[in-house]
Amino acid sequence: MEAVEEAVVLEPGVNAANEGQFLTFMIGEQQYGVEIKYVTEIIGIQNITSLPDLPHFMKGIINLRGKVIPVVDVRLRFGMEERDYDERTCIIVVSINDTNVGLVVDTVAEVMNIPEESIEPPPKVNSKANGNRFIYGLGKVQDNVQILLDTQKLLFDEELEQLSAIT
Amino acid sequence: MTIRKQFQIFCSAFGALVIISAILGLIFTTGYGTFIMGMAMAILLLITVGYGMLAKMLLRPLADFESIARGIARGNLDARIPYKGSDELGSLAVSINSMVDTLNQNHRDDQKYIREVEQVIGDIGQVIKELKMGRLDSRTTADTSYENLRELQASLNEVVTTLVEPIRQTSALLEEYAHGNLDNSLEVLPGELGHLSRATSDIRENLKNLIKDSKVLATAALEGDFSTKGDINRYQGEYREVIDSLNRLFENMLQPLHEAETIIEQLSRGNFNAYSEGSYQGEHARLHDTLNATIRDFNRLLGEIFNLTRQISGGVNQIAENNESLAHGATRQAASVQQISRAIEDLTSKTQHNAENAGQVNDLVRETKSYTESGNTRMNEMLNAMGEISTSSEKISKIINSIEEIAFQTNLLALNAAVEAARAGVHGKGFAVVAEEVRNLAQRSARAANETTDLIGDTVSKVQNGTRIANETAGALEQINGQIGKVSDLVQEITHSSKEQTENIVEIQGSIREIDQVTQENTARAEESAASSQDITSYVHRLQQMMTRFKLDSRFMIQHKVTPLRQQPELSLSTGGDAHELTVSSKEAENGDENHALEESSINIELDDPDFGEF
Repeated sequence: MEAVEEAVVLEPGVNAANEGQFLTFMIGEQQYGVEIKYVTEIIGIQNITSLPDLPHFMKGIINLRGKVIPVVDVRLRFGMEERDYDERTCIIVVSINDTNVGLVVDTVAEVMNIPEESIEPPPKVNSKANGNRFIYGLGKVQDNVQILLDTQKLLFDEELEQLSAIT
Repeated sequence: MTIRKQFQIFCSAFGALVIISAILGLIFTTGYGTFIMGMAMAILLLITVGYGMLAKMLLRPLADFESIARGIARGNLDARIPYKGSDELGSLAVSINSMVDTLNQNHRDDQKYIREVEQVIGDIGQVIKELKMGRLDSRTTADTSYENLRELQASLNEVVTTLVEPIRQTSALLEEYAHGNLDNSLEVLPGELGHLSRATSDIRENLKNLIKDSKVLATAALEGDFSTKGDINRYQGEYREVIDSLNRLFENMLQPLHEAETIIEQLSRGNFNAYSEGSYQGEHARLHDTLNATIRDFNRLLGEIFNLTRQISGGVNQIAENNESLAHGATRQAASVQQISRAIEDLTSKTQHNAENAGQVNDLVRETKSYTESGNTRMNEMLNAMGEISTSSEKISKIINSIEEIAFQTNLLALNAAVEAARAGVHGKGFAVVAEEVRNLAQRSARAANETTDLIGDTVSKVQNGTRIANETAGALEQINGQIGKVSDLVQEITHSSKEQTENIVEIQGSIREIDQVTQENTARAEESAASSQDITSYVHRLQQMMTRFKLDSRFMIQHKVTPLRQQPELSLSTGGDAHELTVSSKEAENGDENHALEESSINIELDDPDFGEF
């Protein structure tokens, strides 16, 4: 908790070392990335306790060493097809606005550096839809494109409020 | 009063009446008519009265006389005229009655004489009948009281004796002539009977001459001289005809003999185209026919012999060729039999070898069966081993899952460490490197585990495949086992059959040896036969040459349908001789109905062969 706080504290950051560092994970065949500064911990899939009256992408809560953390299924959040969890399924615990949230992904890939100049803004298409609102940019690494997610926007405010309310 | 006087009175009265009537008529009548009438009436009256008188005096006694006389004439000599008158009729009646008495007496004498004459005549008739029947001893012997009849009998007997004696002598003589004894002759008889003795003497002379001439002619004929003639001038009538017939007989006998001689001479020269052409009768006709028939038969026979000779020649040539090819074939056969014999020997050894091999195969098959059974056992053990490998693979899979889990956890830890290092910034750099290395190790472990999993999966699938194959192999081995059983049976049968084959081959060897022997004998025989057929060829050639010396009737030179020995396209007619030639003779072509097929060919064989004399 302190580390998170420290990370949040450190975040305004002068810590250039954190810049351009992303934790990548897999949804299907596509690799996504989140900024490493938001990442608290990576755990294997846990027993998720469902809660009533939650958005469908909110799978429930887990008990992480005594702390209750809400869990969001990124697939459902992205409007993708749901997938059964397996031993490779991981939960990435991110901390957003002092709130810890678990993101359920297919599997975690690696920690990689993506320079600023290799990141392009998301394409301006289909402006009415909300599909691009989570996308921070597109990182080009070698021949692959990493979809870099805006962790802040990954959850709406009201959702965050709900999350806060849960916690 | 006699009838003559009465008649004189009547006539006188009649005349007077007529004169009176005439005077009365002339007086009392006025015309001639009445006169004539009265005359006629008077005449009629007188005639009537006259007839009445005549009837009374003459006609009735005459009628009685006539009836009596008719009775006498019928032989009734007992009748007597009962008339008792003094007139002429009365004397006539007395005369007739006495005449009848005389007749009666004469008749009785005549009756007696006639009876004796009849008796003598009957005796003579009997004698004549017996004489007619040839009983010349018969003489009349009837007794008679009349001298003349006795003389007649004696004369007749003498005449008969006179006539019968020459007949007896003549018949005895003729009997001697009939028995061929012409020595005696009849003595000269008197009178007409002398003709008999002369005639018998002439007969005897003629017979003697005939016999003498016949003897002469017969002797000449016996000596073959048919030219001797009998002198017909010495004979007359039938005798002349006899000698004339004999002469003509010899002439006629000579003619066919001459012709037959000519023909036989032709035949003896080999010309069988000569026929008897004369017209004869009886035995000569038969001789003629027999001769012609004989010639025809000879022609037919010789023609057939000729044709047969030609065919035999062809056949013998064929036989000679056949014999040569037979001898050649027999030689080849002998060689072939030798080859067969060698081949059979090879076959024997090979069959024995086969039998041994079959026995070895049987042992091998038995071994193979045991191997197959042990292979099956091994295969089952291998299947068990495979199952164990499968089980182990599953265990390994579980372990690898654990390793993957550990690698995953390690990866997570490394990532967390990397996150921590990243958050630590500059300070966390070393740690980040360590985390990276740990993470690499974790990923390598995961990869190795993955590969191992793949390998294990591969192994499991291969083990399953191997199990399937091993099961199939086991089944195949079972089948092999079963088939090996059959193979074993078959091999035993082969062994048995090989033994039988060996025995059979031994028999075949024996047979082949016999065939070899027979073939060698056949070869020798074929060579002998070839030599014999050559001899026969030369004989046939000689026969043909002999046949060329006969000139045959063309009708019999036709190729008869004698069953050919073999269908021979060419019948060699000219096997040897340039001395004989074949010519078509149509001389006989126009006589006889057999000639419709005769124009084809006829062969005239020249007779001028120098060897003709041999025949």
